Amino acid sequence: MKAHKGKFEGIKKVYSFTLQQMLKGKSSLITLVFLIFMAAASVPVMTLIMGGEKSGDSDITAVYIQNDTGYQINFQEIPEKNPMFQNTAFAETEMTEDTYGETLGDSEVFIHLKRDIQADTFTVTAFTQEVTDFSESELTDCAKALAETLEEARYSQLNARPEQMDLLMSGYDVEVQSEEEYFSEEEDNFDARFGVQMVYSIIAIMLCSFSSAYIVRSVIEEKASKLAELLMVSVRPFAMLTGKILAVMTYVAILLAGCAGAWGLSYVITGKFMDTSVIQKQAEGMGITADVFRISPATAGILLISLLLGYLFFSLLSGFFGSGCSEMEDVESANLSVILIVMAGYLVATITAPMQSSVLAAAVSLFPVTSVFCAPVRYMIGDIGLGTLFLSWMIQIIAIGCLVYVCGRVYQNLILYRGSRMKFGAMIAAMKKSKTREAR
Amino acid sequence: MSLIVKNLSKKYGEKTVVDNLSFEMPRPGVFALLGTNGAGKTTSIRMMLNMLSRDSGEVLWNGEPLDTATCSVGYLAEERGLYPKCTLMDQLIYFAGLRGISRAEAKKRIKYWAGRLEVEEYLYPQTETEEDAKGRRRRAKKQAPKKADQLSKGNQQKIQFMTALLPDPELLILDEPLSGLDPVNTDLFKSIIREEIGKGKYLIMSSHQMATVEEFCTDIIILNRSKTVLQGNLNEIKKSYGRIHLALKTETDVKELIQEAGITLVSEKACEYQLQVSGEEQANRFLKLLTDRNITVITFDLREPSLHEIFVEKVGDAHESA
Repeated sequence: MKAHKGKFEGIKKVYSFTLQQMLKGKSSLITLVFLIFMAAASVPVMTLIMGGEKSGDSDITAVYIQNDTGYQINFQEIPEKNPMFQNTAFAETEMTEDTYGETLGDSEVFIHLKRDIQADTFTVTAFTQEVTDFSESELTDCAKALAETLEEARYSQLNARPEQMDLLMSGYDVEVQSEEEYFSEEEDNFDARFGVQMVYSIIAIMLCSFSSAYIVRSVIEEKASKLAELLMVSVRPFAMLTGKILAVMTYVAILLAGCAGAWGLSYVITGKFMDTSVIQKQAEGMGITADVFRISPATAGILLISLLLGYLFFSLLSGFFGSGCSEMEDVESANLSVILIVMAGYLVATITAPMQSSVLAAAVSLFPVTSVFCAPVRYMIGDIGLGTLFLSWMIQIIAIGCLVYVCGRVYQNLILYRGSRMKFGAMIAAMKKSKTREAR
Repeated sequence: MSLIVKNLSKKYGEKTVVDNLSFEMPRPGVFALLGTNGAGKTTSIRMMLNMLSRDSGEVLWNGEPLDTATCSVGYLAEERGLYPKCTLMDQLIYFAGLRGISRAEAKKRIKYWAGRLEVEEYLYPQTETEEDAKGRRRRAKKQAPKKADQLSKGNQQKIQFMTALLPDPELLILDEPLSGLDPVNTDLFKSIIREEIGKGKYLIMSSHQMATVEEFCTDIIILNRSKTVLQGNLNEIKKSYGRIHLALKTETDVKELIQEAGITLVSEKACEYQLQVSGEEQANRFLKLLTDRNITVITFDLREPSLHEIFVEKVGDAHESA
């Protein structure tokens, strides 16, 4: 029986064993379950915080309307069109703003619809007792429903056809631009730029920093467990390192995909009971809309490639720092080095995001540490062209190639090293030494 | 098949850790790599297995550079370890897989070696039956597979030995195989080593337990401070020293007679003497002297030096000359 000793032989075995052990490990499983739970729970919590609670039926039992608009309004249609008011009675009343307090119950609403003929405006005013059985948002929804019904009545009185009614009642977006902005053909919204940069950077930073600790730990594992010698009879250090890094990358990707899946599923399920559109509105408030992202298959591809290259770059960097350690106590300090570099890239990306200098945009998009965060976003918001994006990818691929070489050398050279964590300079020196020896 | 190690050298900076190590194993057998702590034994083994780069020299297996891709090597490293949180079975299958052994074959071999090394209970979860208050058997409870950190040091060593044996190696390198084992497990390991020798394997053993080395090895090399201080066939080395060690036990004190006969007294304890003679002739003369003076001799044992004595002498000489 012969051993696998080719440079790349054994990668698959190391990869599947490491991944299998990570998925089997209690701490990894607890992390996975905890994060998935947190992701799933975040949707209803966020919805509640943002005021999107949607109880099945409204607690308002009756709505009394004083209609002074001059229009014939069919209030009975409101429960049919708004399921939340299906158990609420809508009726015209003789009550006035002066008398409602005497007869109105705690679960009832008095609404006064007024028309100012001179100003040609309409007012919807809702009155309740001081203490009510329903929430503020239910009252707002009720007033909105009446305002919509009034609007329909106005169009109806003008003999609008059903399709015209649909058109008139459909929503609209408001966009405010200066002439200069219009002619520059580029939307330049500070909030949008910052928001897009933030969202993408947070995904990248989560992926990179989360995997960093796992990779450093995994790379040290053989040394700390005194297994390096035993394994080196069967597999080359390079294959061992590659297999381990790829396994951790897969595990973290599974972890985040699981979280994203749980979040999506929770969004759909929460939507059945609550008004999840508040989350969307909040994101839109920050300027993050699907339109800003220009989410097309090509854009998604660009994002994925950039994320993958960045992920690989930082994972190899973690492998490099892990190679200089031989004890589990060194994990934290090695991981910190990687986190600091990731954070530096992230900070540069967010600080420079609102700046419109094309030179700066190109610089941060090309430098490997910052390009992970900047290049795809800068391309999407139109700061750099496709050529610069490709160049950025090329530089990143070269950087990854160099890191693979350096990382493999350092790992191979220091696999039998025992002692305190090696400094950056000493690791490079160790790599150079092995290179000289091979040349001999 | 043969193993040739030629002029192996290694330096760390200005410090030479292995200086021109050469030896040969033309036929199956056991070769002992001996030396003081830090003499360069482990470094030599690592260089032989290409784990460490060499400054000079070569290692040939059947005339070709030794490569674990062309020669199946089993290695029990001095620095022993296992994945602490992995089940034993998982890691053994993994180690076997890295050596190109299929899962099914690995399981078969693990089963054999688990029985041989008496570690079956740790590798194969046992079923336990619980009894209720009335003493009735209720339910079978399966134990969780054992992980390395749940095993004693000795049992971990057995698992590590198993990883070296799993690929059915042609060349077996054992670095301090018996250190830390109790006498029962020492005998168990020895019996397995004997079996492997019987199968015609090439064994290289590094150990500080001279009695064990003497028991198994045909050829030895003694290293001290990176240099070879003694090398050759163990029997021939012993023969070259001659029978110069004399163990004597008498009923009365014979120190004066020892002095009279011109014999070197090495040690003495209650009429038990360890002596060094120049040869058989001097020993015989001394025995005659004892009988002539009516001394009751309880023990008179003239023997070759033990490996321990040779080692101490050689390494001591080297220390003195250094």
